[in-house]
Amino acid sequence: MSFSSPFSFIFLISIPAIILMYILRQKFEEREVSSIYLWEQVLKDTEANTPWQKLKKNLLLFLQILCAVLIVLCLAGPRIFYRGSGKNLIVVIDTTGSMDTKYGETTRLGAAIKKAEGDIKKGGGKFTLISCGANPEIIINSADKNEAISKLKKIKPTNSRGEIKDALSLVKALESRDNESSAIFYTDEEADLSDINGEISYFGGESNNVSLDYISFSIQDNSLKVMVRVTNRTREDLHRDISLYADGRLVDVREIEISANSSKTIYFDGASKDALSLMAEITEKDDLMEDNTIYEVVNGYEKKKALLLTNGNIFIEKAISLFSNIDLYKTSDEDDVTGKYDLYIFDGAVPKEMPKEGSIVFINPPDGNGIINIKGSSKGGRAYIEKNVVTRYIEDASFNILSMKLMDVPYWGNSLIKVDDSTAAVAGEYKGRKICALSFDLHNSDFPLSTEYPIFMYNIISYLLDLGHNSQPSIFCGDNMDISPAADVEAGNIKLPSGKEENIIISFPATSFGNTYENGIYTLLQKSRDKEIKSSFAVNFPSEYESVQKNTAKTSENSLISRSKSYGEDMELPLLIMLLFLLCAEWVVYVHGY
Amino acid sequence: MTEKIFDSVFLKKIQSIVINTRMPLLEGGSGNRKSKAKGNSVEFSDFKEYTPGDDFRRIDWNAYGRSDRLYIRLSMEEREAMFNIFIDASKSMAFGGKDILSLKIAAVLSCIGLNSLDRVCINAMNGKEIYSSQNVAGNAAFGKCINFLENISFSGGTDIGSCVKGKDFPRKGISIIISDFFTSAGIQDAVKYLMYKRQEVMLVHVLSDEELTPNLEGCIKLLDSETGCVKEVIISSLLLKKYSEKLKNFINEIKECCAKTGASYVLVSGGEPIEKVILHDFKNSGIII
Repeated sequence: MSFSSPFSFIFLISIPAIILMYILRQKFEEREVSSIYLWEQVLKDTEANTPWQKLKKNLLLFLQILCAVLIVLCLAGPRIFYRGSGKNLIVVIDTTGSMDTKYGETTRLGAAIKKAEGDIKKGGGKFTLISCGANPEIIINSADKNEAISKLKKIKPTNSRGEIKDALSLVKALESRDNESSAIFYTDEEADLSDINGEISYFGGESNNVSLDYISFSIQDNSLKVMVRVTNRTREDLHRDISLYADGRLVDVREIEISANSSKTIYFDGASKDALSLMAEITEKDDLMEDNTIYEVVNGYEKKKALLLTNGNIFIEKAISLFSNIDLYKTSDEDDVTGKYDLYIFDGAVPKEMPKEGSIVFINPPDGNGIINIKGSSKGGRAYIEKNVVTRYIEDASFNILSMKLMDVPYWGNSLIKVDDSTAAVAGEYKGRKICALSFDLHNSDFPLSTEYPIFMYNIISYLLDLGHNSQPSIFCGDNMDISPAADVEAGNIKLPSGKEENIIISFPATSFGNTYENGIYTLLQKSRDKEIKSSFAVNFPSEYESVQKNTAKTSENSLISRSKSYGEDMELPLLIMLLFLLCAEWVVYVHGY
Repeated sequence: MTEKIFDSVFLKKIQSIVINTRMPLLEGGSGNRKSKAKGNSVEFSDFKEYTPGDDFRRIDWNAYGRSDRLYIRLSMEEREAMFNIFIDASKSMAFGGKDILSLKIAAVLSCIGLNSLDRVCINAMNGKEIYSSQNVAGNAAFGKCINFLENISFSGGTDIGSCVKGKDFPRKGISIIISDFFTSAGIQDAVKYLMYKRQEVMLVHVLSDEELTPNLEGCIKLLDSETGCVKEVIISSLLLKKYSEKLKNFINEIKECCAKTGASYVLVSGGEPIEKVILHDFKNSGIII
């Protein structure tokens, strides 16, 4: 039990005041009687012939003292602490990577689940089960104890980074809807529960752990030079063997001495530059095994270069900015179109000499560009986007064009946009190069203002650059991988490190893939009508967040600390009812003079 | 006694009461008056008109000569019964009209005794002392009785046992103790002593209304009128109930004592009128008929 206003107990001084008043009130009226012979015998029997004994026998006094105590208790705002029985319990399980740390015979998460199971069994009412990995997630909200335990046992480690405090706002919201709920956080980190009715079941403590935090590579002399950073997170110097694998084959093993609480960077040579993936591993086992391996994809991430020849077109620049893996270069000088780019965008002008490689986008192309035949100019009109693999998601949309050039649809191209009978945009593959042309100046159209424009541009550029895979080479466990599908991709799936395959839904502008709880190499396969695009990305344990000793302030290792805060049911009403009954009893006693 | 209790109204009442009553205890005594032994008595007591059955040898012929009517001379020695009335003259008796009622009872009983041609002696008990009136006989002596009663003052305490034992009982008789019996001991001894002295014993227990049903409430400092002792009590219904139980036990103990010794007992309330006490309470208890 706790009290919201403990200062109210100062009013307990009313009790001695009541007693004093009773003593002062006892002014005895002298009465001469014939004899006290009988009274002496009566008083001898009752043993009530001293003032204190009279007080002890005075029922009214005790009732009034009890009333005073009850009133002071009501003022103090008592709350009875509930845990479990009869009250709704919110169970928050920390599933972040650090909870995989060894904890006795099991892991911290295993111990937490076991403890939570016991608490649920003891409880009544409703149970809300929340797993807190990268993001807090409500798993179940039910009064069925068995179902809650069943769901609890199915909680798996996420290896993700996250903080238990992320769940605080969710718990707070749940508690605001239900005054009778209380939360227990099963975690290895501290949290401030000042605004929450709950407690922490602590599963932290020091651990014996060495982690691999970082891996990168560079190509040198037709081979890969691989850098790996190792951190000793214990209080003693350790000896470790670090192995490097390329596509699953052992490349080298390094033996290192690493000081307590320090990091060391080691370099490996000799891995083939044709390798698709790299993996570094600590041979020795420790308390947290997940951070003993780290992965990297060698060819899974490639930056594209694009050159924009224009006198200024913010609409195109904005469209290019949709792609994080395209570096955009700009020029307004037609003679400056030199160098090798993956994509050329000619806006209203063309260079004197066409580049020999790379895809090209013509926007409002001038006559004599050598690729698109311009027949003249015409007044624009209502433009309609035609159905094509490149115009997916925006079919049947329309916009207005003020003026445009008339161009022939080349034999290698397909019309994308029509204005009456004229073609306003074409796309196709010519001499091994992908080419797209828009016969109007974007400034002379309301197309850039429409919602279809970014989709159209995204599709066109993806088509021209054969884009269509992950935007990042590696992520941490639990993070979402944004997959940008190619424009003509119809289906795709991802193969997890465990071998399990999972289909992904193709959507614009990117598909977010969240099942990244395993660390390892993930393989993305995108299927279009005529081809398959295969790419990979690495998912690593977030060691810089989760391998650290989160609670270094704790001195006891593997200790279980419960921290509770007062919460539960207000007791004012029951006390007031008791007070009412007492007052009635006092009235009866007063009237009947017991 | 500052108050005139034996006024003309009372004296008229007493005559009517006496006419209508007599004491059965005296029946045995009166039987003794037929014995020859008593006929030889020389101590004149009174005249009595001759009725058939009386000893004609005791006819006073001189009186016959003077009045032409047959009178018998009565002598004191003929009565084996002596009428002793003991009045508790302690201070406790001066509460709630107990003193007045006690004196009236004594007066009535004296009158009855005198009317039955018995000797009456009134004894006032105070402390361990006993103050006795003369042994009087004859209706004319009733005035002496009244005078004695009027001079009794109620003060201090009373040790009934000691007082009674201080009295000499030369012959058989009737002893009536009028008291509230608020004493820790001595009653049973007194009764036994009287029985040993061949006394028919009657206990007239006089309690005031306040003692029978105390009208007290709140915090009271009770001052004992006899001893001056003080007791502080907080009156509650529970306490009053216990007092009532204790009073009942107290009365029962005296009744039990009487039952064991063959004494008569009557409880009267100080507030009751004398007619009711004599004609109702005494008659119900069989003391008078």
